Amino acid sequence: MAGLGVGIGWRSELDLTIERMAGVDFVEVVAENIKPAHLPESLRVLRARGLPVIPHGVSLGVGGAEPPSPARLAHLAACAQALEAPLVSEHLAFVRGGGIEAGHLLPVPRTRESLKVVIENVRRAQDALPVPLALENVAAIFGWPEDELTEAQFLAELVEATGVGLLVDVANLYTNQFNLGLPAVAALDTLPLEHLAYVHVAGGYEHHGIWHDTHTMAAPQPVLDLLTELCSRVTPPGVLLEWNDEYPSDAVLANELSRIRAAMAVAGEAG
Amino acid sequence: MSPEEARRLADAQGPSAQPPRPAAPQQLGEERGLDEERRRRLAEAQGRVVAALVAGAEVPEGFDPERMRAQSISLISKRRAIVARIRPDTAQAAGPDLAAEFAAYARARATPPPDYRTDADDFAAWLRERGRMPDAPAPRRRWWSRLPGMR
Amino acid sequence: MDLFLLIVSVAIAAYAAATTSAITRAHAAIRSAAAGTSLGDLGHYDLAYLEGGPDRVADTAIAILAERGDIRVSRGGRVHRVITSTLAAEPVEETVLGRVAEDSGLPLRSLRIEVVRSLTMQRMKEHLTAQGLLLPDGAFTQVRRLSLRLRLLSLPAYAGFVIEGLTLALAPNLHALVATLVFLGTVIGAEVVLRGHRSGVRATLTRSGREALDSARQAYARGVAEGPVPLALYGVESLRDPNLRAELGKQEPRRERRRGGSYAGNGSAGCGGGVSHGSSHGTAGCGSGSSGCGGGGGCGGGGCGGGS
Repeated sequence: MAGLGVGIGWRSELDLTIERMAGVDFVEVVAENIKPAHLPESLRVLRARGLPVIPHGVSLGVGGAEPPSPARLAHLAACAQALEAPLVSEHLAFVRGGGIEAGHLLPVPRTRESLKVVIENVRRAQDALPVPLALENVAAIFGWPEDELTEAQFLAELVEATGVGLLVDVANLYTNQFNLGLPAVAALDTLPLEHLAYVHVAGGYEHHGIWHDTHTMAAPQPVLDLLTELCSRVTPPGVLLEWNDEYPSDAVLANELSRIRAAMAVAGEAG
Repeated sequence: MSPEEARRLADAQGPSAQPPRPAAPQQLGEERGLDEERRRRLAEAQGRVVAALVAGAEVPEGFDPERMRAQSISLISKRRAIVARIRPDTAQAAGPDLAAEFAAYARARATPPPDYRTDADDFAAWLRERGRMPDAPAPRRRWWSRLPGMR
Repeated sequence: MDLFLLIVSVAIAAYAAATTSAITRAHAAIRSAAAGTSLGDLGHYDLAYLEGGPDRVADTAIAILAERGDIRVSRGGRVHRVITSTLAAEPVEETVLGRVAEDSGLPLRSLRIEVVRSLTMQRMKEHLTAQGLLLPDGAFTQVRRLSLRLRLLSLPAYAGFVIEGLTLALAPNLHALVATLVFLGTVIGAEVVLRGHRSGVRATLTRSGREALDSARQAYARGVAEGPVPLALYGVESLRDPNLRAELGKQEPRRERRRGGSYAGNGSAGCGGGVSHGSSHGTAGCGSGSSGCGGGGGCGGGGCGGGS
């Protein structure tokens, strides 16, 4: 099966680290940070080696009330073409409201009504993109009072209506279990994993009873356990380590990739 | 679908192979009208949430105020971290009081910042007004921190 | 008139000769002065200072920390902080780590400048001078005064040469001929000695310092040995990682690239231990952009023109 393998989120600070690291099968790059016409040299080096590079958007806001902006979609499409990417990914979230940028991925109200809006947004996005789209579940600190569906149910319905792919972030599932009481393993059962495009793994920390998914620490064991759970249900085409700031040494990052591989292997042994 | 079946199905597909997209129903006039109405309500609801989180507006009814506050603080921390990277001189000037100073500045803002660059410069101005920063403009390092891919 | 100018030319020539001889003797004395302190084992940062001054110390510290993974260098020569629990062992490393922690992502050039100008570097210089390995700052004061005097003497000599030269062309006579030749000789002699002086004042090491460097070079052969000492002596060429080597090598100060590293300014084999830049530049070696004596780092004091 043609898969992506195990990868790491590309950051310009880590460019040489990633180039020299063994065991990196693919990378993901934040689409807003690159210009398709002038790709960073490091990405060109990785592409020359045949490494898949997936553009990952953070500002589309398919969960918002406005249809996705044609300009942002065009940029995503251009990134996909410049990188010859097999797919692009974004988030099930809204990022702006009332004309104000929130500067963050916020959870959508999980109602049947908002589902209809999101379905339409996703269709428009898919129409504008030359490759398949995958959506990522987000980490939430708050929920909406009118929530009717769990996040997994919402995504399942969205996938059924649009055929969109899934980017399952197990750290975000863990966050929502911690902060909102949404059971993560039950989410794995509800999510249509046959539409899984790839997986995110990341670390964070707990503060005053709230889990903050910061992507600046090693993934805690419960998150890796969730990865194992996922792998016992489906073989993920790809698993990506996200580390966004406060970068540790190359050795620590390489160790994280090993921990991910180990967690995946555990599922293989048990299954 | 049982987990085993799901796995077999998923294993048969590569990352770029997706099940064919379900046909989208045509949006008739009535449907379009309903769609607009749904969007309008969603826009209003989301607008209130963002205002509560970023612009100091009242937390809408039904939301957990503690959680909204935590989200708001998390957003401010994120802004602070980005501002500290764009303008390290502000982080140095504020020293150990960076969190408190930035929180105070964020609260005092009349309008949310249009972008991180402006946010950083406005924070620097805030610190300067309070005598915490020297009057000199941002140090010479500024030019390279604007390069794409950086900050 | 020409007789008068002839007398003047001889007077100037005599004074210039005396000054020239004083300059040459002074340079020789400075070069051969031994400080006489017994050297313990010099650390690699001390050797780096002797070899290439503050720039080389900074580069060595940055290279060592980057290779160890305590800082991270990315394409474009940016230096980033690494979250790690290891502590710096050396003051100059502490200085580098401190700057990078304050300003993660800063350009290599900026980092180098700040380290070069740091208090740590100043202390290092004082320490090496106290140990008698570096020439103290005032070492060349007297000889600079002498060379200024020589320069001032050469001005009337130039003028006289022109005047008597014209006279020779328009109204030749014996006095004019001799005067012209004497003026010319003075001018040429002065230029040669002054050029030697200019390269001489670039020297920074005492004889003990040069000896310490030589014995280090013998102990750690170029291209063979690995570790911090070869990094200090030969620059980034001895780094194993080709990307790191390329990034750090690209950012070497222009001065070093042009003159092949003439900080030590001694005449030993290898022409002052010039820095070769591995893949980026090929060998700088000796004579890169420098002609034998004079401009390049090969000569030390007035080794070419004047006596030695």
